[in-house]
Amino acid sequence: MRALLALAAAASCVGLGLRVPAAAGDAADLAPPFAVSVGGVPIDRADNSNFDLGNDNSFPWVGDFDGDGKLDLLVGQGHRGKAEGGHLRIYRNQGGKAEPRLAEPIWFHDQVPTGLTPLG
Amino acid sequence: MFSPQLADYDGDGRLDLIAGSDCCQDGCFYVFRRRKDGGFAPRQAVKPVFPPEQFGRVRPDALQSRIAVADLNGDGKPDALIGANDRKILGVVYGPLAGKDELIVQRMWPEGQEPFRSGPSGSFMAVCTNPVLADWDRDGLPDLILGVRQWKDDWRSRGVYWCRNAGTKREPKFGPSRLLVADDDGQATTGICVAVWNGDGRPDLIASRFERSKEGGASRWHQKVWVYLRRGG
Repeated sequence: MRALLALAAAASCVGLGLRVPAAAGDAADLAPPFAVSVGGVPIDRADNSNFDLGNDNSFPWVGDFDGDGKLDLLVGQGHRGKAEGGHLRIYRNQGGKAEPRLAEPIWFHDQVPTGLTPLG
Repeated sequence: MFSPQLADYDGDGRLDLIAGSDCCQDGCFYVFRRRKDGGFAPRQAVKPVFPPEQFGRVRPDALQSRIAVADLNGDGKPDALIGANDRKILGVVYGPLAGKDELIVQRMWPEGQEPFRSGPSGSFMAVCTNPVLADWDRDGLPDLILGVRQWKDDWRSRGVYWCRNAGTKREPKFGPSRLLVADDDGQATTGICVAVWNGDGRPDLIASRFERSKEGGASRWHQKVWVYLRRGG
């Protein structure tokens, strides 16, 4: 399996018009992914009733938001409706450094009054 | 949109929050400086300026601000890699960054030598996620990780790639792109981050991706956040 993934990685580089041998750090070094969840339910930002592919992309960031030494998850997204700008959800880590356990999200703009980014 | 990043933007040792934004705002990004009490100061807009003599004419609709902050030239001051959704519009601003309302962006690669060149048959490639600067191969230098899409009758996400920094602490030099995660036609990576998710010291990839599924005959969109842990070794 590892050899196949390495081969796929090398083939993909060729597909981009480049010829680069696979190396440490390439696709073969990654384990199969798992979805981040809160209380056992995967975070899923798609709102199927009002989903806008162009403007509703989400952007994750993992870092110490609250200064407790543990990594939290931040998920930014596009505007909700036409009146509001970009939003940011904060999922605080209530677990440990090795096993993050994320709490229900809070809005960044509830913490900082100018915490929405302007509409495009 | 709000593409977040925690990084020490002003060099005071505290993690600030930086937000990339979408089009039509002159490509501005936003900085929320961390205060001493741990809270955040109000939003400050920063406008990147792409000199036309270096970047040509930059279309306003290409100015989705995409930013990554790290010390690229080893002087101890944060630098910024700033781009748009055109692969050619990806340049660098060397720090100090703080206290400026505008940042003049410099080209990082000579014309035609960008790490994401044309795809097969000259198809057009473009950046489709925020860029990330992180030491992916743990050699002490920040590498470049980002998502790429390709024009082939329509835009299609190719996936997440990394470019190894083969330069020095003083002078970064990003090599050719290498695949990390491939997207297929039914999915597209939208945002990425590199962090040590499970505390093992190895940098992992965190990515959000929209994908379509068929549930009970109906097509549904999902946009989940995925963790790709590094294997041992």
